[in-house]
Amino acid sequence: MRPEQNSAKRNLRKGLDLIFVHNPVLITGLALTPVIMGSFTVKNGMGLSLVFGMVTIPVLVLASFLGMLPEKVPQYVRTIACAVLAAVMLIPARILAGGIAPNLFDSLGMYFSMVALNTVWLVCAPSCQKKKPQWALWDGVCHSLGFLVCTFFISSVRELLAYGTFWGNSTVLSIKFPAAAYAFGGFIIVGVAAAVLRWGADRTRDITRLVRRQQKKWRMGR
Amino acid sequence: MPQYEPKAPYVRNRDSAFTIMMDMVVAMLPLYFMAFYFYGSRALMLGLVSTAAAVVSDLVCVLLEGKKPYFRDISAVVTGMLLPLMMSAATPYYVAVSASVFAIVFVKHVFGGVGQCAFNPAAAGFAFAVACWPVQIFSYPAPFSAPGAFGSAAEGLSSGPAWNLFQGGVPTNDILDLLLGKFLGPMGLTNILVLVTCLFYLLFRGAISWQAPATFLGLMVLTALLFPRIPETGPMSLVYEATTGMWVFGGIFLLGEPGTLPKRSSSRLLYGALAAVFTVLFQRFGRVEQTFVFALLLTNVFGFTLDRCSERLLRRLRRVYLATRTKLSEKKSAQRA
Amino acid sequence: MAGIFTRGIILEQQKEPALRRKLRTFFNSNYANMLFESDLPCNGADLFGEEIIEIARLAHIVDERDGMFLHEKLEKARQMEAQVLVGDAIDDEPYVSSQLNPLLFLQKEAGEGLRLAAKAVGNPKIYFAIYKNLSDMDLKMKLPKKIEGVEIRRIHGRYPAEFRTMDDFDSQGPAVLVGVCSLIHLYRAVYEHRMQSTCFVTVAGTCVANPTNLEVSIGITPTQLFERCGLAEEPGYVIVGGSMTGEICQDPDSYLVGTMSRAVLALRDEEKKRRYQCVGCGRCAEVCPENLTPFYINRYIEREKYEELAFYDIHRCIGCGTCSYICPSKIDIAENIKQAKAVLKQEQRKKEADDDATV
Repeated sequence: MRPEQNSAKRNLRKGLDLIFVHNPVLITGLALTPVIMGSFTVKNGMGLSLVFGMVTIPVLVLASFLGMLPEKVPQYVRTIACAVLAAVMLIPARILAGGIAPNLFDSLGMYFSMVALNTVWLVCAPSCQKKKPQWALWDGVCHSLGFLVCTFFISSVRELLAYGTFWGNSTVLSIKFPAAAYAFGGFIIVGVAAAVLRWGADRTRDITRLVRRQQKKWRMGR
Repeated sequence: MPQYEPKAPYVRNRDSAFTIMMDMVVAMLPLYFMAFYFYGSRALMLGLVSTAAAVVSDLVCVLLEGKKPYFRDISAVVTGMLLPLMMSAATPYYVAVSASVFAIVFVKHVFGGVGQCAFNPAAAGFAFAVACWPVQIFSYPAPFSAPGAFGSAAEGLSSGPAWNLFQGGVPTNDILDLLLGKFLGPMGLTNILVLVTCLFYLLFRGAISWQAPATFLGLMVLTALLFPRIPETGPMSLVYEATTGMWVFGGIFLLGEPGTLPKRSSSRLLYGALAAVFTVLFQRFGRVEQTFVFALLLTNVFGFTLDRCSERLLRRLRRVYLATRTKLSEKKSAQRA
Repeated sequence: MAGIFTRGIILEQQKEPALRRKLRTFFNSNYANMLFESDLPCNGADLFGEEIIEIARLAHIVDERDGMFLHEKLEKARQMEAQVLVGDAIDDEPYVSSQLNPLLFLQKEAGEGLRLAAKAVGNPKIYFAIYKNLSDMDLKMKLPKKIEGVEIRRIHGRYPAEFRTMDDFDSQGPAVLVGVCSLIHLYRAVYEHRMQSTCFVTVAGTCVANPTNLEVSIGITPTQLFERCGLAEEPGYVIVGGSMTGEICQDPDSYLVGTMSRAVLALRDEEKKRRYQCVGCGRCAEVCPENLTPFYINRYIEREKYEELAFYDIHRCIGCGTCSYICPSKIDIAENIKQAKAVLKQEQRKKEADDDATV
């Protein structure tokens, strides 16, 4: 196997890991604020993930392009450029979000805008400067997917618990826990989800290791 | 030869964690009896359901942690029994159950189980219930109305004198009724005479320490006497506050919870005072009628800090004392020479 | 009730049948009357202080209080010009009465021994010290106010009383405590030239049929003692030393009782192993005689954060075991602290050795 192909495969796998095993929110603990404060209904959660994706993907790609600039350009200029792009991307995001639900922007309030400066791109942009644009794009997509999966899960749990509805439609649940919609309820649910996911991730890691060892043995035996 | 090797000292005190918890349970029995007297079998059912939920969730948590369950550890029973006493007798069962499950799972076991919790589980469970269902908890059935033991009992409920106080008005209840607990209120803590008896029982048995309740109850009584929040004389204000408020019950059963209480007696005194200050502030500026649990949860945070501070002070005092002692003895020997 | 404000615990003393019974002798060898050779006269009145110390050295008398040689102790007291000499018969631990009982039944020997020791030190004031428990009800006999003209001081207060003794006498100048048993041996050495070959031991406990105080040969085994006093039932465990601070004796057939043993106890195995977690009640902090906070010390030991222990002044612990006694969760706090102190000492020694090597 050529080294280039090898690294491509690794990048691919690393990106896919971000969706579950290295989930940016639940495992790494990035961008917790919008998840805890903003996503108390599924609609809100989906809107947040949309904005998140629209901000994070272009910014990471831009970071990768900025990495090609000569080294004379100082780091703070690059960061400012990223931030400006993130802020600009909020405008189309606002228009698109109106398509999902008309009052999404109002119900999210300031958390809508706060997504522009999320910790995910702040942390990943420096490393993306060393990546090729296509891999930065892949990174951004996978981060957004991880965020989407997490917010979908958390927001659906919170909406079901707090209002007994799902995407605004009523369900069979009759007992309601309004606390789930509050910030402290959000903290608790995110904490429990993180614990469960971490436990699951550990188990999957154990299983993959076991499978690999078995494969190796099998190959050696041959 | 024994199966395990005992360590010195070989004579031990007869009190154990089990007997302390049993004292708490025994002290709660008269409150349950009063609740039964006023509200019939539904009060007992609430207690039973909540306790069962607490015990089951405790067992599940212990098994999840990979420990062996230990049936002499009945702290979950205490938490489960405390919770419904603070609620209305007509509270739906799911409220009591979810409050005790929340208390055990998210407050007790998340922080590491018995003796490790940062917050009082019962208080946190009640706060959770208040945050979720304030209407169900704070609307009370009339005494002797005997809400049905099964199903919902959400008819003929109204708010009690605590609500009047919270709104700044004077309750219209008869004083004797207030003292005997015959008014609209939480099912277990309306009868102040029984509560005071419980306090003395617990103090006498040594199940709670005297320091924190002393400063807390003392300061609360003083503020009610000297700074009434209703247009009434001091003694009347004290009667209203003490009979309708949750702080008497809280000061006896919740404040002294050993896990969250500071360990040094000096910091216990301060802790009680701090709890009183917070309770008064929450009373005056809070948004619900019973605010003691929120004040207690805030006070819980300061437990360790208070201990640390008093330990630092103690260290300094000890050093000063030792230094003066050696100096004195040196002086004496010099004199003799 | 001067001692009611002291910190500590009130213990049931459990001394009674043994304390009231007459002191008996039980020798397993012929060395009980071993004499040493000396030209000094067999009369205390004719001796000088230095000669008494010399006799104590020849007789190999060991103070049962701390295991020091009596002659070293007296020499030290002489050098520091002690103003008070106290015959210590405190016995504050339950079941133990191996100092008090000899004091009451060998009054002449104890009183004269104390006078001799005082002469050796340089004529300080002399007292006997006896513990006065807050729950003194179980002592059925009346204790005298004076023994052989020597005033008896009662040490008041809760359990760890022995470490407080110094404070009671400090106001009169430097004080020295000497065990009563070693004083009795001093008397015998001076008047009969006898070497110390015996020691005083309380044989008691819930499993012993006839709790008694015995004067026994050094090197006797606990099994022999139990044969002498009779066992009511098979003991759960055997303890040598006090019931609060003693050590468990794994092999009663071959353990040798010595001067420091004080008591041999056979206790029933009543307590089952409890698996309580610490509930955090803080009773250990309430009773600690040194005003420490064993709760935090124990917590940091369990979490192996040894660097925190210095803040809680762990070195001030006297190892009395009150915290373990009172603990409702039956945690062995005193044992944990003892081990942690050993670890800390080892670390410090290592550090010092390293420092020396670098220098």
